[in-house]
Amino acid sequence: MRCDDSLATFLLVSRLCAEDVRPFKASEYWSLLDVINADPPVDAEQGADAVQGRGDLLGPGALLNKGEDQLVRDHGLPDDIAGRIAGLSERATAVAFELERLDQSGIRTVTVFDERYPRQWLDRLRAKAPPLVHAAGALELLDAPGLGVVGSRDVSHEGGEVAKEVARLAARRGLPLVSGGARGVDQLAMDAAFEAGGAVVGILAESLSRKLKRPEVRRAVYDGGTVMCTPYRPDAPFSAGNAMGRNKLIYAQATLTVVVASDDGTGGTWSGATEALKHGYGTVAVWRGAGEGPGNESLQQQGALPVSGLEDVEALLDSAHDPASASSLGAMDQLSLFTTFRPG
Amino acid sequence: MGHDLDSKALALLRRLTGDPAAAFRPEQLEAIAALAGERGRVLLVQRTGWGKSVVYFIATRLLRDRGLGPTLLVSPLLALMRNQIEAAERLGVRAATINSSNRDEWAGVEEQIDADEVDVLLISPERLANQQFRSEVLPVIGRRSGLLVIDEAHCISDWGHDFRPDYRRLVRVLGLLPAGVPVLCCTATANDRVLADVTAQLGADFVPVRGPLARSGLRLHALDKPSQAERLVWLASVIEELPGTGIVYCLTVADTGRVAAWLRSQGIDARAYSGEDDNEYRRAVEQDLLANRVKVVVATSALGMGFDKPDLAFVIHYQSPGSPVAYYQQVGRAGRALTESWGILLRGVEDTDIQDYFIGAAFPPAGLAERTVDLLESRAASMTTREILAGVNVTQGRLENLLKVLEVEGAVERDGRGWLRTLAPWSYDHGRVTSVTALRRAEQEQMRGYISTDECRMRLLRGYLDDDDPEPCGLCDNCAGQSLDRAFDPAVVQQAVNFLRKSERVIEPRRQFPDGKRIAVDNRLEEGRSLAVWGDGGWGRLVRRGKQQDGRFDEQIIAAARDLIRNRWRPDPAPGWVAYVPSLRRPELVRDFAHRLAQALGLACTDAVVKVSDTEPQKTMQNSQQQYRNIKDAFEIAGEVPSGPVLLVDDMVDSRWTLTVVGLLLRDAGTGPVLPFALADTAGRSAR
Ligand SMILES: [Zn+2]
Repeated sequence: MRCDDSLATFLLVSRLCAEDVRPFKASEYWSLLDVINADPPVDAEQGADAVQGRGDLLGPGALLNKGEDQLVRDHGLPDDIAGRIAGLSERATAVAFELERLDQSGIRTVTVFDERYPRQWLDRLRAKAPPLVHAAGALELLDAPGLGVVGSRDVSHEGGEVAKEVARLAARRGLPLVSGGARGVDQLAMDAAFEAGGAVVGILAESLSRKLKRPEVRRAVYDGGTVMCTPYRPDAPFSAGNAMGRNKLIYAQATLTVVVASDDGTGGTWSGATEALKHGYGTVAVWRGAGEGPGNESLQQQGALPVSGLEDVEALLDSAHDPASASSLGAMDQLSLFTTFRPG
Repeated sequence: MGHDLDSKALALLRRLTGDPAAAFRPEQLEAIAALAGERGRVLLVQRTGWGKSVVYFIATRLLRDRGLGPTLLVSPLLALMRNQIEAAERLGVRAATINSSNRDEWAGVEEQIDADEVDVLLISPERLANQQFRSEVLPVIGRRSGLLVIDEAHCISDWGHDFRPDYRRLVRVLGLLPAGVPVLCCTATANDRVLADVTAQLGADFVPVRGPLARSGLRLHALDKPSQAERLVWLASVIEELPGTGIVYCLTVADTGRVAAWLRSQGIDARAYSGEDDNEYRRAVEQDLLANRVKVVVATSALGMGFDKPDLAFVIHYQSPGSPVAYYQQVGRAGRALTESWGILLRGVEDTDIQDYFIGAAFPPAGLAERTVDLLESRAASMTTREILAGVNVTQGRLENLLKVLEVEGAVERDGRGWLRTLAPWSYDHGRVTSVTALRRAEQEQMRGYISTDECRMRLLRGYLDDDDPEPCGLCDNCAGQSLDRAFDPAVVQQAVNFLRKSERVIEPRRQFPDGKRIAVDNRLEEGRSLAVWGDGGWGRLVRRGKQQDGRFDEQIIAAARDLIRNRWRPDPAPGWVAYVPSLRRPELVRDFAHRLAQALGLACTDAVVKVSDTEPQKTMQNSQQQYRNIKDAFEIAGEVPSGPVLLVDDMVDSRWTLTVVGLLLRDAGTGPVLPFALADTAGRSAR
């Protein structure tokens, strides 16, 4: 049994079964929560009643079963937003059947209101955290510290060796390898971790369903040390926007992320790393040595920590504190933590 | 607001019934208000015929008028709803159905739903497992959520006897539906334990609405009649005297055919009815019974849920069901609108065996389920059932059932034409199996108590159903001091014995090898016969004694086999000689029988077929691939064989692979057509 806040989150943001009405993007979703908890509500008396009913803050469940007019009246929402909420809520039955189907095939859907949602995503990404994630396998790995490895799809032989060495290091230290599951660096690192018997956290930007059809991935999931997840539809095709949105999750997930090889000033690896450095999504290290990319030096200049041997990576891991132990908050606590942090 | 809804609902009721003075039962209005007024969740517990369709059709109309999407109605009994659907049209409620038999209409129905021209979509629970339905139809119907109706909701509970795995899926879907989507669950179950389980699974959001289940005028009788022949004679004699029309329930499909044939031979208009009959035939039989155009329908439990005939005069059980719940549900169909009706239970010697078989077959064995899941997991890719059968020793039918159960448990999923291990963890639920099996044993014991009691049967039965009624009914055989037992003319009993002994079965020739390759027409067996069903009331019992106790088949069996072959089967071409399937473990049993039968037929018998290697008993092999592999190299032909048609004799037939393989060898060695004959058919029993 899920709480209505979780189901409402799903209804508002999921792109499953949505054709007529545009689902809320992550940023729109968080703004919406902010607006309905704004002070004072438009209709003071009714708003006060509603808040008292919850005792604390309003979750998105409060938006269910209300017509457009009532949404405008109770929550001071603009007409178009109220219309979208009402329209998206109507598909509750289709969504319930679809959620059940995914669940039965082992693809769990976790929203910010569920116990299993990865805490450090919210801690580090705040208003950019995805409201929901689809995941198959050992979901508990999403709440564990990990070692990230990223880099371009077209990696040199030496670069590939670096990716594999770092992945083996993760396995040796009992840390899950966090990676994007794409061709090139991601795949080499992931395979090396599998081979070394290490755990793997794959955060995918496209086609989770297709990835999960591959026998070697299924076997890794059956064996228990693997989770594959995506904040997008399980059948989403590739898009550059999704790939960017996903990159920040890798940095937020990992205690430390090593950029093996990056282009200079261009490409997904570069954008992801500079964004992570700028917003402080996670600790960024950059490989300096044989196999590095043309952009690695620039990344170091922008603040990425240079590593030129496994011992450097180990030293950084030793000094990093464990983010999972930092906080353990319930869903409503997370929400309140968020609402005290008003986005731009 | 509430008053406004009440008066609107009442106006709709009057339109629906065409009766300007019609009034609601209080529970009907209560349920409609909870659904349409508050968009709540209702569990409606009412007896069959109470008028639950009034609730969901009127609620649908009211909700549609408020702009909600179409109602989705899930019911295992769609075929029985035609009349109700016509009535609903009086409310402007437009119904459509999507089922396995109207696939070519799906696209049209989808378009209608899309254009908002459907108010109720009726589907069977099995649709929910269909990939095309889920990917194409559900997203359209669910895009604008309306009322969800789950009919026969007791199918959710595996404590009951109507458990359907697909209903578990519905329970999970309900858990994923936020408040505000109205849900109606209906059941007519009388059993508190089942109801408690249903309530627990549905959750606390459901408002229970329950009406009285009382009935009167039903006369309960029970008789211990071990012998099948005596039971048949009793049936014919009593049914002739009973006024009105009724149902005779049997535990197996084979018995329905046999009992109906016997009754017809005694001049009683009787039809057999089981889940093995096609839908069209079943609908026709139901209609004939509803219109009293047939005296009696001899049925398995397939004639059950939702069959509503208020003037059904009698329900007789030829064999005892395994539980008071099952019995009460079936006997409760009698006489709802009559001042007098009959519910008579006969107990036979075979009942316990059959009940035990059903109890054992209710759950897939742990080892089998685990081996199947392990196999799929090790492959980590889609496998067809044929590929699975090569790796797991199980019949195709049981594998298909097993996969369906595993699918609903989330262990496996359909993947195109094959099956795939899901990514969800799974383990065999030993606890559930143990507790349900223990319950079934206790129920079996209760049925024994019901038959042997000398107190009021109605009070005892209700007590078993947790429905305590302190007053004796005054109508049952014990209360009234009347018994329906009677003495019979031994000549009529002998007639029934002879009837039972003519229960031979056809042995159909196999047409393909387990790998799907065709067996050439010239190498196939001809159509054959088996004398009896293993252990059954006719010759089956004597065959079993010959094999298990005497080590030799009785002279009576030789005579019966000769009689069957010569006078009833009369194979064409007629066999010119006899061969048999040899055994290394018991070399004399079949050899002796074959030689004696050949002598009785005036034919020669050869020992030409020899067994060259020992094999596992074929009955332990569970599917074609395993059975064929077990015996395909076990036999040879020694020396010359006569040409011309041959009667190939064995004692038992089950998978037919042994007969098929030996038949192939004989044809290869140059014989003519091979006519298989066996004493007993041991193929598994079928319940529905
Ligand atoms: Zn009584």
